[in-house]
Amino acid sequence: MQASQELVQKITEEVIRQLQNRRSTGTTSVTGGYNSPAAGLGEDDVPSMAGRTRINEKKSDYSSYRRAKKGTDPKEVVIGVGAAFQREIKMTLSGIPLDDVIRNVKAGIEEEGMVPRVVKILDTSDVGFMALESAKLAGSGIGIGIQSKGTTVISQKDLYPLSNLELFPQAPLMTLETYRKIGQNAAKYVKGENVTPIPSVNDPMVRPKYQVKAAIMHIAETEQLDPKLGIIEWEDQ
Amino acid sequence: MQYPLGEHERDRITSRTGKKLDQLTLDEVMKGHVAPDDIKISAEMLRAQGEVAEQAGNAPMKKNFERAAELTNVPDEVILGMYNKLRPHRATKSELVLMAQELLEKYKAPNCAKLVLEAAEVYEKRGILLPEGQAGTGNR
Amino acid sequence: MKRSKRFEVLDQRPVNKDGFINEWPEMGFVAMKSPYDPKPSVRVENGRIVELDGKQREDFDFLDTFIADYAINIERTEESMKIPAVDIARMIVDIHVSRKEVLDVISGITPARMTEVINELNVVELMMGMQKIRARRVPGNQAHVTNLKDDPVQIAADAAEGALRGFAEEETTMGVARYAPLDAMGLLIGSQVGRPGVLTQCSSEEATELELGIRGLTTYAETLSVYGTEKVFIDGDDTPYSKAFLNSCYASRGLKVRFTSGSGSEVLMGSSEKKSMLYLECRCLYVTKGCGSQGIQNGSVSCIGITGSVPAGIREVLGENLVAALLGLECASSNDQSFSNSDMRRTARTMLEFLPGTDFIFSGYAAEPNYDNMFAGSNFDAEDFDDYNVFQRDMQVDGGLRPVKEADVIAVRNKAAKAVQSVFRQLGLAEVSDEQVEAITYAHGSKDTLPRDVVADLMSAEDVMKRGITGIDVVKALAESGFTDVAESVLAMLKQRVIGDYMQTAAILDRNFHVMSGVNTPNDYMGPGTGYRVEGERWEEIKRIPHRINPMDI
Repeated sequence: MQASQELVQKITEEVIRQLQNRRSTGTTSVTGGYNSPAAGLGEDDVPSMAGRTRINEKKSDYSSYRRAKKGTDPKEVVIGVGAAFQREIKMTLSGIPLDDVIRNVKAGIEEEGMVPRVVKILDTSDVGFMALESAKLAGSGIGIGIQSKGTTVISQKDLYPLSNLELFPQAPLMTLETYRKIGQNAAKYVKGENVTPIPSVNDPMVRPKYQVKAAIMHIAETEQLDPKLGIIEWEDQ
Repeated sequence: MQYPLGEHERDRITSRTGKKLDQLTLDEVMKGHVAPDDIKISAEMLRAQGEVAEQAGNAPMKKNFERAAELTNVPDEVILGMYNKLRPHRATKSELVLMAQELLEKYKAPNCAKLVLEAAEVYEKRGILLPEGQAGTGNR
Repeated sequence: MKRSKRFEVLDQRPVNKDGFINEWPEMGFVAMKSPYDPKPSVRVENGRIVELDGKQREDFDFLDTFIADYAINIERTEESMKIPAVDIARMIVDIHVSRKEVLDVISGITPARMTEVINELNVVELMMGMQKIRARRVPGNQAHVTNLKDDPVQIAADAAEGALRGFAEEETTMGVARYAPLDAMGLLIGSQVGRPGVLTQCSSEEATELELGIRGLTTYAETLSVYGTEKVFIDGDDTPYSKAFLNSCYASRGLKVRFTSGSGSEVLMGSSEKKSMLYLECRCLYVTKGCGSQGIQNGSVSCIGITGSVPAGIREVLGENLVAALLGLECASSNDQSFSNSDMRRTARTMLEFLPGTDFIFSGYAAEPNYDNMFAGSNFDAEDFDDYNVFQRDMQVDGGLRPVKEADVIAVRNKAAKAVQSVFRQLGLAEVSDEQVEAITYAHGSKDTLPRDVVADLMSAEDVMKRGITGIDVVKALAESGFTDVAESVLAMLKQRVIGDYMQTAAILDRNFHVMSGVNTPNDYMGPGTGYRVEGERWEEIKRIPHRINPMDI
């Protein structure tokens, strides 16, 4: 017990040091509330994703696909779809199958006497740039960009990237009828008609319901990008 | 000058074209004596606002007013074109360097020229220039 | 499992329709602090910052370079960086340390240190900080004025009503972008009918917005967006340098400008570089500061669904508002986007800015029903006006609005609609019928108005741009059709850009066009007995909500 005084002093110093540390770093413990979990947190029913750096481990390989070229047919409207379109992602944010989306946009273009061509855009997942790049490839100079989550833009080759002819930002509100009209309107721009834009729709509660899902889908799309390949023909015969 | 200049320095305020505030009346507008350029700010007023910002302890804001003062004589279309060239992937390095030169020599805008020149170097390092030879393919 | 009736009820509550997600730092789903956030550091050599937050100059991306060269006070930085984060945090809430002293210290710290400082503050401390640090003495409010039809006449009427209700700034945007010139004109005219001195802007593509500003069809600009990572900045089609140049362009034409940022955008665009939302937003705000902007619109803004989905997300939102104020920027603190199905949750979120007061509590309160809000819905809309007025009265807080009388509202709406009708006629633009004026005068939203001839409108819009119509033409057309007072007001707004006073930090104008900014009316809060207090005439006005009991009626 001889060492006890020394020990007491050591402990006292240590306690003071700890207290000072705590004061200076400001990390007063917050685990001491009367509601703090007595026996730990228990199991979480939603698994943690922390540590994962991708949503889909696998990346699709498009190196065997033909690179998209600039079209010459003045009737041609190019539809540029997202990198995960019809592969990793099969349905839009609101659950419309992407096969039906593309079928309706093409039908709309054809109904107005124009010619659709579908490419897949692997160098950007930004819908504004997707639409602009599609427009630049199109013989007509009119293009449509469609992200896998359903967000769509109609653009023209000489517009600013973030400008557009028509923008449909609220993917969850899109219907197949809207997609068909988008095709029709794109074709009408080619014909140089005075086009009545498709009326805007608005649901102020879309953001709380869908924004997180939209972010996850966009990440899934972006991780499939392959900028070296650029743009490929998506519906090659 | 004492802020707000519109209250304390009214008589000293002139527009870019040299019009005094009491010449910018509805009467004058109706007589057709007020052109769009008459409602633009002068370089002197911008420098004065820069002084105000500096006294309020905001050095970056003063620099902005200095650049703005230099840009008062750059025509609207030119200024829009320059902004667009500064966007990513819109210009080659030599285009930006020439733009800096134009700002310095034609418009006597050394602070703007410096900003553009720095941009040219940073853009080169970060790979967001157009390759030489592709000049003028930017939008518009 | 047999279901509990209690849980069945709870599952149906609106809050459970909201999106929530676990923290996932690798994808940026983390609000305050990510394990991948850099450690704060700075090194100066030959008057230049050569190391910033753990990165050497040669490894800087364009944000780092710009922040190092333009945003950090190089003379102060090494001194400021010696102060521990917790000490700076304490200065922020200490009523004995002035706003100016705090801002001086802050001017030398790096984005990573700023992130640490905010992490030391809980929400009440953040609110205390905001009360003390916001730039302007009196808080303000801004409205969104839009509708589904992009109808410029309805925009004028809603702008007039909004101005009468107390908004100091009004912002419009379009479903169809090409409507911009007509809607900008409607907003400009309507705002001045409601209350002279209200500032207006038209949110559109950067170059278009600048052109409208130069023409004098708007009086300020706000949509100069900046982002926290290089990749997203490029996707946004800009760089810190182009934004700095654009800011100077606006100033060279005498226009007030505010930048826009907000956490969550980098997550939504898939390039967060594993950093916390707060750290990335700090980078945005440093870029904004470095550009010499007087202010920012931030607080997650349109990505609030992302920031609101993660733990401490709403604390982070107030945190980023406070960072803006700490950098000396005017802060228009969002609250402008619908983010919850729960009325309780959306109200709670707004209290964080409403109670301390910010330069603009909302950077878009929907002055129309939310179905007409073309920013995809605001957190509060026209149907919440009376609730909001009651909040002000309950807590004796100035939220920037006032109760109004129905007859006054009808009168200004009618006058605004007629003014636009006359101006369009004078300038040979698309026709506005008397029936339309009547419908819009009494309308709540676009469901109560007549359809527009969109093709004719768009041709008119193009015409405005082609013919080079300016604010001066609007003044003339107003005067020629007998709206002399409105013509005088629009002209007075145009003259602001010759003077430039309203380009200083957090400036707004009163009805006599007197400027009130952080320079001549600075926030002087230093604890009880100081700063702005709701009293006198303003308090009497706030007290007079409609629907009070008259004891004589009982």
